Amino acid sequence: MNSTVLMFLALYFIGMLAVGVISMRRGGSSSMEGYYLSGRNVGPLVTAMTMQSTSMSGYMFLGAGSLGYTQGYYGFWYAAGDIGGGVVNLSVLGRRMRKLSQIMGALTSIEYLEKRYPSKWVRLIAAVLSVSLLGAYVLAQFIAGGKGLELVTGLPYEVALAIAVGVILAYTLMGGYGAVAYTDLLQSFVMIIGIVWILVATLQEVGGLTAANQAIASIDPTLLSIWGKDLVHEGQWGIVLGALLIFSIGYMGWPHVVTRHMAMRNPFHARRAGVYSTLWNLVFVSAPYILGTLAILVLPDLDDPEQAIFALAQNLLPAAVVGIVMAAIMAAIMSTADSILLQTGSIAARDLYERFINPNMEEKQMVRVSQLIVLLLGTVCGVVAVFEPPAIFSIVVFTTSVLGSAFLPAYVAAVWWRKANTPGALASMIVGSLVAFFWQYLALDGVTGLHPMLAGVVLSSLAMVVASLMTQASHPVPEHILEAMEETAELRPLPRPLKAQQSFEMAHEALTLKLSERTA
Amino acid sequence: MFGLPVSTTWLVIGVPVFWVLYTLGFLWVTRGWPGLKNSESGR
Repeated sequence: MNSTVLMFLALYFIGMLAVGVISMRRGGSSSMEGYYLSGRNVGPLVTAMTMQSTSMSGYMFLGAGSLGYTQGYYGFWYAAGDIGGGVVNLSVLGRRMRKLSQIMGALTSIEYLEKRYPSKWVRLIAAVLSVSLLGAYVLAQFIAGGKGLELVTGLPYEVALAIAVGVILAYTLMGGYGAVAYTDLLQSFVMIIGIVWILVATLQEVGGLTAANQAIASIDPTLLSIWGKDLVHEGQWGIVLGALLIFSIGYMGWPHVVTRHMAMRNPFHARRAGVYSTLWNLVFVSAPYILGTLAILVLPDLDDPEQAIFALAQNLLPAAVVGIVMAAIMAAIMSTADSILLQTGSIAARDLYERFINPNMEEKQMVRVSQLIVLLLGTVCGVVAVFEPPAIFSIVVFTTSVLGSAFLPAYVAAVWWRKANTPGALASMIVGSLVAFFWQYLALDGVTGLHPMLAGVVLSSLAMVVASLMTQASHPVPEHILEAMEETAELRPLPRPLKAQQSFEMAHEALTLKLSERTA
Repeated sequence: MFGLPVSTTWLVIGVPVFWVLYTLGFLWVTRGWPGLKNSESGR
């Protein structure tokens, strides 16, 4: 491997660690709100970029390129929904979720669900689902990180994996959410510079997009169609429209993505963050699919389609720029891995350990426990990743659909529907996760022509509506939650009394304390 | 356009244009939100 490429990668890793140190010095791990949400002090640009780079994993450089290479423009169905995913999320949930989460004193997106739908079962089911599914996702990203670095540096897989996991763990432990968000910002810049550079070079190589499309048509005109090579997906509207819709609204159901709303400095930042998201997505999201398709002309005999973008970079760019593209691939993987690792660790610590096992911890103690669980989780996933469990990527396919189907109606209804109650949320989570899981496990998409997540989201939304309406009399939404929702709808800063009480009156720690005082 | 069939052009160009319009619509709907400088204390 060229020394210039290695130098760029080393600089990139040092940059990530430096952000971790800065976040730690700014108090990122001195309090629970600091560690989990960076003190709710994140601006609109960082909010938008951490949301986007977290949503876009290493898949964008490996899987998306492969899809373009093998199926041509059919891959654009996947890009089309993705472009609007950020702005939909921020416009529907952003301001309201930020405000409601602060009023209720929620520090994790799972704790937020219990505060809005008061029941320990909501928290237990949501936390167990999140930790198990996101844990598998962390594992897959670690494997991708190790393989990516192995590919770039030529180091043995085990050594490459240890470096990638070590760097991610170091800055996540040091600075918590602040470190993750600001490294994500840097990583989003690296990702976009890398993808644009390789796109420009490739377009120059093939003589422009029109000339390239004409050349592709002469090889196989079906590659230019929306139905894929040999029109194999022709007429599968339930699948492609499902993919389009789900990638635009599905992010609203991912606990590690919606946490970004809760960490905004100001609820009104959602407006500007939405614009930044769209601008970034317009440039970034389509590029990997175009590159994969153009690689058909530049590298017609590629053995492994997943290497399409990597091979384009190696063939068309000078060594220094290849270093940037390689750093971009690592950035895509690491920006997802760090966010999920932190969220999984936080949920395990806050929503399982503290909530159900040891609720009487001091704040500093809780931060240390969270860091310990993140370290433990990262280490376990790192060790398991050495053995590259064969089924792990299949599990990840389940992960996104199951999470989205389980939580999307619960998060949306939490801020928009006053009648959404605890039985509705429980029914929605259970129905959504089971339907999405078994739809894929039993391959029902092939039989019904419906995307698993589309089926999951539709049925979990129905479950939310039906169960909530049927149980309004027996399980009315508590008055303090309705008041909080009314305040959330107002276009004004939080009243001082709510700010003063937010971390106490509605927090489960406070309720536990009050209960123990009463019984004493 | 760009040597693509009409349906592919709609997918490649039309859908991103829709999202741009959605974003502009979001800006228009939220035009009454307090300016960021005025609401920095709005936490």
